[in-house]
Amino acid sequence: MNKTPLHRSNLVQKDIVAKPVCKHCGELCLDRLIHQGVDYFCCNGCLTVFNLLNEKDLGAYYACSVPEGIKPEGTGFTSSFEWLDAPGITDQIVDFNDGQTAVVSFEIPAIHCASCIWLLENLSKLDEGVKSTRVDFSAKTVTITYNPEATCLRNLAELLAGIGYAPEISPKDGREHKPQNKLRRLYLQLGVAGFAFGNIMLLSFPGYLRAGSDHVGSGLTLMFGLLSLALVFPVMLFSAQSYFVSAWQVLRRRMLNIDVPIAIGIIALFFRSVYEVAFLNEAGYFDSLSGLVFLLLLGKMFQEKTYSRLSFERTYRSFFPLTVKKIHNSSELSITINDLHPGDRIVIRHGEVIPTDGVIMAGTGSIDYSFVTGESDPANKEPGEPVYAGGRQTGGALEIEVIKEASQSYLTRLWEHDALKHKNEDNLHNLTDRISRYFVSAVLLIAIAAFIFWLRLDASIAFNVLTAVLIVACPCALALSAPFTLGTALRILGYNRLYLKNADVIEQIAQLDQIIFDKTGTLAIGKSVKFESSDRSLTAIESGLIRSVVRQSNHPLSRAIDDFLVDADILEIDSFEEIPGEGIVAIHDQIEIKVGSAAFVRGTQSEDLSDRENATVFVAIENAYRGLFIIESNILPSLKSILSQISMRLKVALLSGDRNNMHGEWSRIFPENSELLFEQSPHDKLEYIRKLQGVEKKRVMMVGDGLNDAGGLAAADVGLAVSGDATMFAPASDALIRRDDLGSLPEFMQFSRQSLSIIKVSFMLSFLYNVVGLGFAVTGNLSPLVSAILMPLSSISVVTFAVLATGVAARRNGLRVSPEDIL
Amino acid sequence: MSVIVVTILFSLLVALGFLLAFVWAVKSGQYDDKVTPSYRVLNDEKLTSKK
Repeated sequence: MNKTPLHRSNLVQKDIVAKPVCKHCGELCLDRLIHQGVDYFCCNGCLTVFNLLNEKDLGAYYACSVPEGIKPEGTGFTSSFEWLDAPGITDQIVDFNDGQTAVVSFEIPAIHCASCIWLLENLSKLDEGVKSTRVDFSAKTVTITYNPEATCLRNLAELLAGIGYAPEISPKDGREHKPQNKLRRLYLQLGVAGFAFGNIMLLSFPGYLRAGSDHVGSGLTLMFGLLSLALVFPVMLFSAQSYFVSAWQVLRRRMLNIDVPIAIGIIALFFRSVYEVAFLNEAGYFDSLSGLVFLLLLGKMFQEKTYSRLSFERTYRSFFPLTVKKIHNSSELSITINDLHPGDRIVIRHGEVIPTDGVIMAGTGSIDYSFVTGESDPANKEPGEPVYAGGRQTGGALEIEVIKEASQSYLTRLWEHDALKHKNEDNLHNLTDRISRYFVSAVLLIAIAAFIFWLRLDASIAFNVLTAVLIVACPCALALSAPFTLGTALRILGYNRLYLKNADVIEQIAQLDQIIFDKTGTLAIGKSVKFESSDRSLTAIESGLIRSVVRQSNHPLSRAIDDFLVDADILEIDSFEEIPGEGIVAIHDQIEIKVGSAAFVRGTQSEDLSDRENATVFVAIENAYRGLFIIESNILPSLKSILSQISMRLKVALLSGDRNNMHGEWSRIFPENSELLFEQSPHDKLEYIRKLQGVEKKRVMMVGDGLNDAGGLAAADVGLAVSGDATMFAPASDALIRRDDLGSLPEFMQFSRQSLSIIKVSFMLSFLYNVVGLGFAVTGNLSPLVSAILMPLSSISVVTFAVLATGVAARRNGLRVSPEDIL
Repeated sequence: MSVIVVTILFSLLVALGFLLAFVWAVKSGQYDDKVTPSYRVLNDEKLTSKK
């Protein structure tokens, strides 16, 4: 759990003396101080939980010296579980319900310590309808058995949220019972193999001690041999089953995988041992066989555990924090989509993506669903019609009522599977596939060759050699290095607020030749706005008209003007059209308003008005030119150092749609041999990128505004969409970043390059393992038992190395390696 | 010496008994969550000490 800087455990003595600490959550009571008895509380939420727990005899929660309470979220949480009352919802969410007893599982990310388990398992004291509760700490879930006649899901959810353990409920994600069964089966197979292994070893002892030489002894040898054979049967039929089944399925499709050699090795050893016991009156190799299977299964179990711990599933924190504007008391509030609930009203503007299913309340929708379905013809929607997650609005602003919880994973999945990227033939995926395919065939050949060789020299060793070779070779590390390294890197970049579409983007970043920056909205942000006119200043009505038009758009200049005209009234717009690179034309009450470039609004080129870095936006109402807005921009601080760092490896260019106002200033900021081009239309920018990619075969990254540079971002090898305070979702991009974080761009690129090096190193390590292992096996120095240990060991160590090395590389570059990291 | 046959068979029987106990433990879900029970044991102590 995040121990915030204000938490008691992080304070020194003088801090505690100076300000009181909340009895429940342990944080300093800075903003508010609530006094009750001898205790202090930082907010009403903590006080409520404290009183509730004491009332219900759960005061032992506070027996700990360090408060572990969680501050419940601010007001408003109780209304957000209303939807659980809807009929039919209960059936979707509960695991079991027979009318009198129901069982439901909730995921509760806030679970972080032993006190949480204690409190949650005493939930029955807080709600009489609850019969029992069971917490699974590592999965962060709680399973509640309750009486549906005495309480309901909504009560449970609100109770949990009220004490600080808000549940995350998503009926869309399926229940996962399968991993449970798979692990149980593995335990059973392991148990049987271990049982057989131990007993067969004991039975084999006399054989090793040469106690079978006399007549009595040799009879016993046969008996022990048969007993061993009997014990090995369950091993062959049950424990080793997964290897046989996998090998068989793969062979049927005329392919090879790593289970094929293992299966062959086991079968070879088995039949050889049967032959020896039956005809040669020898002990056979049943001890090796059962030991082999036992150790293989043990290795598999450790592998599963290690992989799941190192796994790179995107946790909800490494998702980009998509924000959306929610309408709250007639003003707009920026909230993350995770906080969206059915019934909320949100505003979606031109170019924005609809985060979740809803119904249009106001405005005309012209929704482009190409992101979801591939169809690029926009669908026209009127108020009252439904709209679905992933659609992009092209047109005026829409007011939408949300009917479904937003699923971040759904949107991320859409993003990841976005098929517009060109497939790079040389990428790591293909390399890994090719190596795996040849690997197994090579191993089989070596095994057969070694076997034949030893057969002529010393037959008894031959079988051992065959099995050892087949078992010790392992391409697992080769196949897993890339996914694990890239997955870890992806997660780390997420913690540092650079969100990539998928792992391939890291590869692309590492191989870039050139980087292109857009200017407006990316490197230069509008600061102060002035209106200049040759006639007179704007009337109230005109300000209202302009503001209403500009509010429908998300262009950074539009937003600057919106802020400037903050006192103007907002009127309803009948029609709205935004043309990228040119301007906006809209109609209110049959009055046409045009806002945009000089060419667009007046049909003429504008004069060079000032020598400072600014943008000019012209305005015409009812075809009469009214004046222009001059928007002074701030250049991103530290831009010069960012660019000089990047230009050490890549060529840098600036493409801007504006006029060349400040050429001197920009060429001072940009490094020596960079290209600075102005007055570029979106089409010009696209052409520039295409030329670099086509003729010069360069790999290009485009850094720009997600909405207005969509074409360039899509065409570039890597499209990085930069957003301001709210995180906009840009489907055409490969990566999302906030403007404030652009300063870390050189470190991000360095990190990506190092990740690729780490993959190469782990490839080599794995290769080395195999060469050394095979060397020993082929020369007869490796017993099957030892090879069974080495095999999983090699994959675990290589994968762990890859993941740890990635973490080290991150730290070296000054990046966070976990969400709570403080740099 | 041939009594060894009996002793071995009997010990195998005992070992089998243990194997069956293991199988039952896995099937009844005792191996599904190995982390929480360790906390749970400590928690009970906390409650009784307060009382």
